[in-house]
Amino acid sequence: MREEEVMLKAPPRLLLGLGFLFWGAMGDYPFIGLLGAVAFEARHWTSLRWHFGEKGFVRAWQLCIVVLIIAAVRFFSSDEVETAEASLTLLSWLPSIFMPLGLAQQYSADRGVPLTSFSYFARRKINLDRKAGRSVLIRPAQIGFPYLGIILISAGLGLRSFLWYGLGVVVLFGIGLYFMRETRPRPIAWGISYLTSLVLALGLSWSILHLYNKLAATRLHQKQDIESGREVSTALGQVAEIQLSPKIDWRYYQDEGKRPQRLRLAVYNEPRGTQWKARRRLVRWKEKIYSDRDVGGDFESLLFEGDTFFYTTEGKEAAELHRSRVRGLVSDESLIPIPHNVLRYEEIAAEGMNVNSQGTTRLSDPENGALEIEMVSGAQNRLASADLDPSIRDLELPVKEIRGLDRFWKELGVGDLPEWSRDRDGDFKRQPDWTSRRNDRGEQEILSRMLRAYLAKHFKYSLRLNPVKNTPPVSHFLEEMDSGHCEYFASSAAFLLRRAGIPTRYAVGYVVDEKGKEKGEWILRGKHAHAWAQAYLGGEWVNEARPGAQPLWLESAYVKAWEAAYRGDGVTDSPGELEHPSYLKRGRAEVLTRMVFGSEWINRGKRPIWRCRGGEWVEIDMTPSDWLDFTGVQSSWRQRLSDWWQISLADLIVWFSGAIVSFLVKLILFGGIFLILVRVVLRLWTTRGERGKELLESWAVRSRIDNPLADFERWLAKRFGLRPASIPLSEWLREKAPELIPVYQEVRFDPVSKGSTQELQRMAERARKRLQDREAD
Amino acid sequence: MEKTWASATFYRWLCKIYRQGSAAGFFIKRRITPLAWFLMGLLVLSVLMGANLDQSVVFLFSALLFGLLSVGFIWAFMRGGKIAISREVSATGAVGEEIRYLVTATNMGRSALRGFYLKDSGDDPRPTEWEFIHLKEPGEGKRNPFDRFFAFYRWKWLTDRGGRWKSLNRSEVLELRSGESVSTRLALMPNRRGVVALDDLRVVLPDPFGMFQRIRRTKGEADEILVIPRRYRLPEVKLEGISELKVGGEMASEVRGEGGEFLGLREYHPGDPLRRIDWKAWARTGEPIVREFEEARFPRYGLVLDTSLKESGPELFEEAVSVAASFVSTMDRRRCLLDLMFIRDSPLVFTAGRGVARAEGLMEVLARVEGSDEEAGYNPLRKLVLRYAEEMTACVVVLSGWSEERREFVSELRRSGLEIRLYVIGVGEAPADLEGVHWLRWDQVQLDLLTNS
Repeated sequence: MREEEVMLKAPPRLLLGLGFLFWGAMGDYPFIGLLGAVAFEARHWTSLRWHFGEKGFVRAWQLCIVVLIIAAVRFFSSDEVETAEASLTLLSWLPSIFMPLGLAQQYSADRGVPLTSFSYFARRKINLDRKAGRSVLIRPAQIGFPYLGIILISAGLGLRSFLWYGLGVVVLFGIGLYFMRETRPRPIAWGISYLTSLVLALGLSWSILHLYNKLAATRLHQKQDIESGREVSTALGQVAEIQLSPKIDWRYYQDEGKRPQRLRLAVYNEPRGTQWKARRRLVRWKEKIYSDRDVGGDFESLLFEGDTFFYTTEGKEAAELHRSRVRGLVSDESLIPIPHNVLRYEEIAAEGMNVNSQGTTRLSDPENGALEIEMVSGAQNRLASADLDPSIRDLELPVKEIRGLDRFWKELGVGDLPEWSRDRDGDFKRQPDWTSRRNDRGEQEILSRMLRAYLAKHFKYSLRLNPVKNTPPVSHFLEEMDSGHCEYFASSAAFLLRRAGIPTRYAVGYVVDEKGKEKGEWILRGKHAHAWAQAYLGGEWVNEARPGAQPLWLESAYVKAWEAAYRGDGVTDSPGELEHPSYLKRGRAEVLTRMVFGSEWINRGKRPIWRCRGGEWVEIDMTPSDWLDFTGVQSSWRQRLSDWWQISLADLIVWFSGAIVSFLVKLILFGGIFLILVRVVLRLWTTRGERGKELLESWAVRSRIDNPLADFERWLAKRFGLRPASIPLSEWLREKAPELIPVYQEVRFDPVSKGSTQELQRMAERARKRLQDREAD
Repeated sequence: MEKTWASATFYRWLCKIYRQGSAAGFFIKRRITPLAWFLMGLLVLSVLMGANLDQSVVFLFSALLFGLLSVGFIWAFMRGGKIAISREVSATGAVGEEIRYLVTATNMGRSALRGFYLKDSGDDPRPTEWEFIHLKEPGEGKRNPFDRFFAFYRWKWLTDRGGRWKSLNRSEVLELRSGESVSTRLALMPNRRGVVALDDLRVVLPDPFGMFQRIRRTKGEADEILVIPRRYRLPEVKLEGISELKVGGEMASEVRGEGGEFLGLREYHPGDPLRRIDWKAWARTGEPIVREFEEARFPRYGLVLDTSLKESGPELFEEAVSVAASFVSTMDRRRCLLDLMFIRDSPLVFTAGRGVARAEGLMEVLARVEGSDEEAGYNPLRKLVLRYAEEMTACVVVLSGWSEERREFVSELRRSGLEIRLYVIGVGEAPADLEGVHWLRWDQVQLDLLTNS
């Protein structure tokens, strides 16, 4: 076997440890970072070493692969089911995953890791070459610097601080680079070139960001899955073309009854630029909502994470219409697609289900990466959930859209629109027009039908648009464009109905259109994602402000608690909102009050509290029906394979989540991991060596002679250190046990010896005892 | 090894491709260090892993790596330097023995030159077309069909052998002000016999990070080192010729004659050569008296080297030279004359031993002998051998391959009655119909010499 020069040098002391600390600090796992740093740097403080050889490094690499697979299974099938997110999480843990190999390198007495360790085929070739008697070239590599590279890359995954990450990389990699050279660097030239590189890197980073932002504004928009019940981004006025994913998100099963046309994922009530948000309020007054469920507070309900409950309508079993199920891959905080009249959920394999005041239902901490939920729907034609009756928030409109909406209504012959004004905070507030005849349900339905007819006649569905930027997107759509996708139709419907005084919300979910292979099975793909409006028809506006009631003015302690809650568990929609200059200007207490309670509470109850009561939430889908032509999926082998994989994965995980199977899998998995760990630890314990004495040790092991003197030597070596290779045994023993030498000589080499091995053994024992006694004295 | 025309054409084309690939690889390898490859790999990895700018800030690291690589590349590209060198080398060396030599470098440029070093390029390790087509790596038959077809591993194995010589080290990092000189030691390892031409010492100018390096030629005279062939250990070889022992002289002479120490006078016996009569003693005694000398006879051997590359090749020829050199060095220890015969443009004979010339002379001849693929045939060599046949005790013939022409040549030598010991360097196992031939597999020569001789 030939051995080549080791590729790359070893990193200087402390560099890998610092790298681990940096990784831990950037990734919010400082303890693991510290553990890694100590494990890597302890090499310099301990004399423990191992001769791993080719086989040992292969085993270390295989262990890394096993850990990688386990981590991948964990991330991809459980909480982080989204591929991109799971990939990022997995990659950010690479330093820990590759730790077995890194530590093997650190504590190895070998020159480096043979590159053949990383390839089965390379090892196979080497073995064939050896069998054929060919010269074999093993190239070892010091993987310290590659490991540092992995650490630095992993530290930057996930949104981190530009400044701290940049500084850390510049310092750590700079130190590494300085020591990476084969020959001694010239400090001045090195410094100049490193600074030049930094300047170049800064310019390049700025250019990349600039270019990325520019491209991001015009790139092909892949419609994202709806992941948050708090907000949803639309492509209004921004994106030229939308691509809908053919990926299967859910499967819906309904054996009896008429299938619902749509399954709702989330509902939003506040338009913000190109986003729709679900504005939440803490309920202070007790109130029973429509389903008779007593929500924990006043008015509108927000149930926070951790609340585990089922929607239930006690005593209303007679009203049950049918049962249905949804099955799919889920992650923590996955939104659940539900029919509009669901009464009860069953068999929820999660910590809980939460619902916000718009009736958006989401999972909390599911037990597995996929689940099946059984739902019982009622006969009522209303959303029998926690979606509360409208407030004036359900009439809010972006200021820029008002004129366009007015023009549109006028064109349709609807001129008597309610007045509008700005409130003292500068936000537009629709004053409820409770005297308007549009509170009449019949009038409202006529209005909505008229609107639907007009849009169907003059607009067509398209995913390829050419919107003009910096214009109010809905007004521009209504006045200048003749085609749009569901987000345009849903937003237009919501805005127009709001402008007409009808409380309306923006709903997203799936259209139930593609039949599955099983009976009663419906496939919900990304292509079936849809948006529509949800209007409250027939309601009557009432002022629920209680005469003489003191408005709730927040105590500073309460504010602090809320602030801690918002920051601590990540409840807040966007942390940046708290830091927004306009909020800071107003004072944090007011900001929080406003965020939590709604702006109407700020004015100490001087304003009326308007609620619309007695009506019914109705789904209004203005998108032309030909949009379903766009939901088809090409029946290619690739698509079939992808479908098969997603369905199988979900089914498999659901099957695994069964109690017995789950127990058995965990037993096998953890048992296997435990056994591997035990084997690794035992193996390491029995093959441990000592730095600087590895060769001597191995020589001593190889040339071990089984006789009492050799045993005695080993005993002595443990107490007084190994005998140096250059000192003969007799000379070494002369000081410790001189009487043994002549006997040993006689036993081993004198052909006419009268001495015996037993005698030598006895003498060795005596010498051992004498030395022990001397030690004790 | 029989090759069809089509396969030979394909392998010639493959050889050309591999040659160009190797040249490009060598060009790149000299200029891009493993550190740069590592950083480029890291750059690719960081770009792939941090491609999602919404979710990571790894692009900062990518930008830094790109900056470093760019600055390193430009820095190395901008470097220049004029260096004149002179070497102090020994005249000869041996295959497999390290040769150290002193290089004195002088900065001929107008500015100081820092952080550079000197390195000899070494000999081209790429095999010839013939070698690639005809030679097989050990155990090639066991490789999978794909590997056998494209013969990449064969190419790799042939290039791994190295060229005629390889440079063992580079100089330490040097700094030279304008006009200043410095001496440094370099070393090389000859892999094959012949002349090592030291004419490509390069100045290596790396960037400050040690990632890229500019390679510049130096100015200076070329030097040569004669490398004598590799020699094998030979078994005890007994050459039993029917020729009589030859009379030799102690003096170095081109003419053979009666030599040896004078022992005394004796009476003339009929048949004694007349030139041995001591006329003065006859006159003094009246009886014919002859001078008696100590017998000084020794065997004379021929060593015939086949220099034809037809149906052979440089690799086999080199082995033939090595086998011939082994006989030269072995026979030097015996008391014999040795005639080395081969063809180079014309038939040549070089004689050594018994004071005629030292064996080193023959070694030098063997170090310089070249193979030829001209259509000269074996007639001139046959005539040359037969001319000396009567004077030779026996003849060792070393053939660098086996062909019909060679078979005929050997048959004619045998018909002349000359005692012949025939060694044939061949590829693979010996043909079945060979008799009286010591077949030496070209890649197992030492083993076969000891077992087949």
